[in-house]
Amino acid sequence: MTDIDMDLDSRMVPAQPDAARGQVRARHAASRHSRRVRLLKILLPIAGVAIALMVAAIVALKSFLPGINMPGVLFSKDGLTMVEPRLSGRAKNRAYDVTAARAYQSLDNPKVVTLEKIDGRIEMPDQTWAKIEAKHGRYDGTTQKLVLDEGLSVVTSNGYRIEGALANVDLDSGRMTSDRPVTIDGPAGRIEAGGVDVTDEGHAIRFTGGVRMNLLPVPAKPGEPAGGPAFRSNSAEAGR
Amino acid sequence: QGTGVSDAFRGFGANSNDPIQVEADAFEVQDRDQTAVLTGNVQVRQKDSTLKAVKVKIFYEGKGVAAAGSPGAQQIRRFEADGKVVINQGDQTATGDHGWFDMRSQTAQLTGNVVLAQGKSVGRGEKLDVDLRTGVYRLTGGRVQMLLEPSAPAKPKTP
Repeated sequence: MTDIDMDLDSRMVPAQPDAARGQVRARHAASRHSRRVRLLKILLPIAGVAIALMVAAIVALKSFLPGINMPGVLFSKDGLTMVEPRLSGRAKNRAYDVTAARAYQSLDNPKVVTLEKIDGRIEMPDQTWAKIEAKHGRYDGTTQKLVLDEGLSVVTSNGYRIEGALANVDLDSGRMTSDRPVTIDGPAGRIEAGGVDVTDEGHAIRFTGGVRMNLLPVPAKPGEPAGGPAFRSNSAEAGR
Repeated sequence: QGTGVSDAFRGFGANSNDPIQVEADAFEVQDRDQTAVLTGNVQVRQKDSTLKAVKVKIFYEGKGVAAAGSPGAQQIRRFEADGKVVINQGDQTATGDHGWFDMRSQTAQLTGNVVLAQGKSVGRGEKLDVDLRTGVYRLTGGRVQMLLEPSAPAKPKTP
């Protein structure tokens, strides 16, 4: 099948609206229609994912929990409130250090601990770290579930900040879910989503409930492999 | 081995430095196989170009950031769009059932009921092949075969 190279003729019969007449008759000599066609060339849209992966920060959140066990929390004998409880240790080669302004056991179920002003820090094997803060949280020893449900924010060493209204964390599986809006901001841009589900130790992240991302071009470091292009920002172009 | 999903790969763009806006109903990243999928009303905009599709699957590569501590260099290798794929830029619109973009070879292809409209002229075919470097397209397989030639390389727009 040979392809006939026909240049578009600007005087070409305009396309008929209905499909039957969609045929373009370009038999007469076409003047050089030189319209520059750059349709796809410019459009390389899908950097979207760049941000999604920004969720690396989430890795911090999910690594925050597996392995932490609270049973060791001691409660002062005269009351059920423990002031400034501290919990640190290593879990799956992650060092964690979690403090709370207050932790108190619920009377009806001693296995449930309510925490206030939680402040946690996780150190990953590769020295990246994440700081987690939440105004309020609830840990259930039987189900090994921790809910952080107020003023939750995570800041990571690679410059990302996650904010969310809620995080349900399963200490056993390490799965972290939230059905409330979450935003992630960082060098690569910003993600807003209606909910998130982090599994597989952070290797799988699913944003749901509508996702919006704004990806910022990041100058490629010199010596960047040619491969797929990263954005190159020319020197003149500073942040607009 | 990076600890999970590493930093965002820097995304891709034809060496342009414009931000990219993406919208979709859902978005899933599978770091272990380095893929990410946007599903549902996917819209991607970069400057005056937009891509729409029902689903877009992205294949990326590159080391994790966590391992190196510095933002990892990750790049999109390829992505595939499926379902009512519409690519628009200015007065040019290409539609088809499926499409893929390959960053390494800098080529793209749209297949299935392909319609390439530019201003008032329309071409239909089964396959639209695009060289992302030169902007040259080849629409084949339909009743009308059209080669839209770029006349002069676009002058780089000074910001």
